[in-house]
Amino acid sequence: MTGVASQTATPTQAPPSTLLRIEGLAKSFGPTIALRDCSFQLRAGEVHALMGENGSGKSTLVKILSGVHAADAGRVLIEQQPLRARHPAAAAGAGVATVFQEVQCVPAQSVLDNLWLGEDGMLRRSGRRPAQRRARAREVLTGLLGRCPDLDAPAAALSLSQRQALAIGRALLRDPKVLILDEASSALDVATRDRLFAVVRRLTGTGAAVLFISHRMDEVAEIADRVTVLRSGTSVATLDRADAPAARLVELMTGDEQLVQPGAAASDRDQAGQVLLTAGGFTLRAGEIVGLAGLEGQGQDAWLRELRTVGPATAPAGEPAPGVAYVARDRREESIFPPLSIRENFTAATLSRDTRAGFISAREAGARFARYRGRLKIHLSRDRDPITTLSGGNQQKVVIARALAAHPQVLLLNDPTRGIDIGAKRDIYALLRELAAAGMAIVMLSTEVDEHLELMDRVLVFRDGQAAAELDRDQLSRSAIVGEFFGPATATSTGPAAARGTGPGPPEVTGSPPARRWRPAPTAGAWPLAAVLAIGLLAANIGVQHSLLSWSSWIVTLAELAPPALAAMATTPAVLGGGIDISIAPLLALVSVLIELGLRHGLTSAAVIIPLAAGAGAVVGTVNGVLVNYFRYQAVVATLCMTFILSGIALAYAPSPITGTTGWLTGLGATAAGVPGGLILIAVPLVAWAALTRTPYVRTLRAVGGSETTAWTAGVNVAAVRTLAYTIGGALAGLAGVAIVAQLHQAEADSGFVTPLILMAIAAVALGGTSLAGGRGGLLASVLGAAVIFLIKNLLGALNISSFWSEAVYGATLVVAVLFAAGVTRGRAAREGRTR
Amino acid sequence: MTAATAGGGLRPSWLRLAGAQRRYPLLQVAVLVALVLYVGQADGDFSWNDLWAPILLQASFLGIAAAGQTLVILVGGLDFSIGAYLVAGNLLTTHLAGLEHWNFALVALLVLAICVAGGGFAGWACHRFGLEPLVVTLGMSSVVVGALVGTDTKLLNGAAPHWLQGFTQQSSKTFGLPLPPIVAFWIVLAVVVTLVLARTPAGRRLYLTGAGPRAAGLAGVRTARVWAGAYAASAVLAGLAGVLLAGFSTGGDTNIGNSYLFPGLAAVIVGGTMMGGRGDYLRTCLGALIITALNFLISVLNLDSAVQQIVFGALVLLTVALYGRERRLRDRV
Repeated sequence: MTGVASQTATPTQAPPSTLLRIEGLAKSFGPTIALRDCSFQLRAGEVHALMGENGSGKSTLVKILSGVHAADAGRVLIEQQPLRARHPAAAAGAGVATVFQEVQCVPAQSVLDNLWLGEDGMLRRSGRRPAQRRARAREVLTGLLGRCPDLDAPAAALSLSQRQALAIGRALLRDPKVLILDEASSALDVATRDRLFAVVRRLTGTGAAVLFISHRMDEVAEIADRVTVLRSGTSVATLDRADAPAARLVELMTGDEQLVQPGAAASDRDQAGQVLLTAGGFTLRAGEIVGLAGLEGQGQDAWLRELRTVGPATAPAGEPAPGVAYVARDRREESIFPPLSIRENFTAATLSRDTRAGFISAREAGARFARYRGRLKIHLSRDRDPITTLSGGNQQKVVIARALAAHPQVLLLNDPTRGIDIGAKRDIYALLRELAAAGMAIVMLSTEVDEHLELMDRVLVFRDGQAAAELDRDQLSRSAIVGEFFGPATATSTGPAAARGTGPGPPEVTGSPPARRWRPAPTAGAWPLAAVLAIGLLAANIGVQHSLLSWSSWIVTLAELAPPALAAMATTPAVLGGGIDISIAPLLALVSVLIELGLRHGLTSAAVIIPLAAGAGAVVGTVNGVLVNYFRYQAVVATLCMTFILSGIALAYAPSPITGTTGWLTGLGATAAGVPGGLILIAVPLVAWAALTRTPYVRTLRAVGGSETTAWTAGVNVAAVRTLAYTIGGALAGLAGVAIVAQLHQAEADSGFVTPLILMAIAAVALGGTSLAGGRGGLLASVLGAAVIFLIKNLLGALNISSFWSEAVYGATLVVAVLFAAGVTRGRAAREGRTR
Repeated sequence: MTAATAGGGLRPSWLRLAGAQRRYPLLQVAVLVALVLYVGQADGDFSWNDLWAPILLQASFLGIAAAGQTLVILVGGLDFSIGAYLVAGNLLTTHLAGLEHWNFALVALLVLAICVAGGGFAGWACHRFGLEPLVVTLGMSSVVVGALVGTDTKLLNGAAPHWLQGFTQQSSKTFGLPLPPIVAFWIVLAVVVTLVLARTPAGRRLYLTGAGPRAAGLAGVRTARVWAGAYAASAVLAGLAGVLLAGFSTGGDTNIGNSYLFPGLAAVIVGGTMMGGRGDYLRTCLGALIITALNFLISVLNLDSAVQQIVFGALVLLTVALYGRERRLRDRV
């Protein structure tokens, strides 16, 4: 694998043509300016590295180019044509393919489906045949991974490195003109990264351009032809690789400003502080700052979190036990409380300090905050304003103030300067030194090598899930730290300079980084359980009620099963896409009322009523879908409102049940041409769904439910796919309305009739094994779930158990079913990560 | 509809008004005033006994029933079992206290135990396993009502305890004031809930858990307890509403819950409380008054309950459009 880069990196002879031109791009998020003024050009056939510190605007630029965000100012030209990418699909269509920093895949779907995600239209496949897809997928993955993993295995079964390769493969399959790799190599093991570089070289050989974003000097030195440096949202220089030694790049990235005044480190002081914390072989002393370094995902993050729970060493008698405070990595999800005020954000961890006689004293909280506000140089107007009015740097200072307010002796920081401006960084560095000088012990994870050089007394470098090396202050150098990223063999030789040119490449690390193993999950959901339950219950029913074996009772049973089965089926598509539609039951009640009204007015033809019923349902479903997906209503709230409205309309037409039937409807309730009508009603949607499954739609819908951001960035029109799911559900609800009239020969809109149906439909979906979080399940599973519920009710009825008890059993079944489903799929983490 | 345009054509003043609306429920107050004035005008009667007292009386039941929903929505959940606990409180009180002449304290204790156990379990399960609250609370409500009435169908027969009837009658006075005791009780409850939410650590933990579940956990808030506590409190408050309603209804009714579940939810949302730590109970009280005034308007206009449901649905859709919608997909990448 060594030397690939040097052999293939031949300069192009002809004057290089500009493929992508970026002119004066700017973008702000609220008070935070992410990108000020960014201009540079990508030439055909080059690998162009983009470098900059955390928060310099790299990721924002990538997101603009890939259609995630729209720029506030400036423009992008691709092959002299303006690139107007208002969403990722448009960027992909223009030939820009992006691999994002966060590993993007749909865990429950197969490797093959993950690779081709976003390629197809909503209902029509792209031109490539399945065999072609397999061959191409195998070729691309083999190029990246050396050997091809099982294409039909779920992506969840892959290691982190393999999943990242999957995301890269998805971009490569598009044959992009411009390939953007945003820290895409950080999750790769070294061998895979070398293969990626070879692939990149081949791609540029065909005239494509690669925008390569990496923190790592050695990677940039190895692969890039030119380098553009971003500083505080401004592109400060574009250099040829030969003119860009590491020192020069660092100078450009930091603006030649000394971040911290060196020389005040704790090791300069005479004596080591008191031991505050021990964990494993690690000892933390008062007054020192320990850095955690390493490539992304080498275990430093987990180690730091672990340290949080270890707790401090026992304090000498008579002194209060020293506390540990933690500043989390993901500011938006783990640190701030967006709707709450700055002051409430500050006091979150120390509520008891402001409590006087059981009540929180606002004055006390304000006074406490004022003490930290000056010390941390937090710029704000009023501490009653929402925290979101502050810039990222000031938000982070409030979060640090919150941690300090607990008066900890040990402060743990997880990449605290990520994404904040340089002024705030400098303030935080100064604060940390001051705190250490006052006797606090600090452990700080940082992805910036320079932070380690400037700030730390010693650095633990993580590799393969553990602290592989410890470097003291006097051993700290860029090359020493970066060298330890890869292993002791190159600790002295793999500086950025050494890695460039013909020097030996980084060694192959055979073990991939420790990946979180996901339990492989079939996309179809856990329907076999429902099937077994249904068969068992059927046997029990027959055991209690022998008459069930007769043909005539089968006809009745199927007619009774049809409405709940159709209601369950109608609820399923929205759930598959990660939403929910609770207005299915009132919708089917409304449709049944409309059918009865039609019958009353002489509208009796099946050829008119059935399409009208399904059509009316589809219209209402579409309205739900549009509200949820285009107007961004919460699915529960929007469909709940629709429940009110539909029930109201149905009640207005049918204050009391309306009766009536006609020839074919009576037949559907019994037999039509010798076939039980209930069977027809259940089978037709199943067959239609099976046909739909042959289009890309169902697969795409499950992908959207499994990971909406992955699907969206892969170019799927998430809103349209989801909206269609609500439309299909609505149409099925219309058919359920037909089934109601066929079975009961009447329609009613009473809440006593409708409310249990709402419950039943969702219960059946959950019982069938369809994940209510989206992504897994199908229509057949829901029919089985409905059958289970139906058979339970039937059994209880046959045993002469009161309808109230059967109601209770029914509710209990639902709770147990969702508990079971949650146990099968995953545990507690779901609540935290999900917003619906 | 009125307040938003009242600011006039100038953009800065319009923006200032929008900012104020975000902080205070100005629009809701304006709507409420307009509704009450319209109802009074249509009846030609603005007297305390014919306009204000009936609205307050009706709103007090709704407001008490929706108090728990407010707490649950603030932590980021939804409670569809309000109706069930309301029915439980109602049936147990009318049957055991009204007909069987049990000691009322004993009945209250029984209701409390059922509500704390059922609500607490639902909240804990939703948090622990990341379940959809809608599904779990719907299931729990079937279990509670089904098991209760299934155990003893005689529960459906009952009568209101005498003193409770006095407590909830419009003609009753509170300490000589022409205010029905139930309304006075509601005002006290509103003060207590507001104080707890705004000024106590427990209330703050509720907001923290709703606003940032993971951040709250990292800041030392035991979020599982907060969830269990919020759902238990919701069930208890619903049970309380059911007990008080016993003074109103003569016998047990298993459908009484539905007349408070959805309107209660509408009251919370129309007041401007949204999932994830935005809102408070005073807004819900305002919402309950609006919903009640709307009901009066509908009866003044001689419209039926069908129209009422349609109006509720549309109203909630409109309010949510003003306040609480999801983040764009592009901001979640």
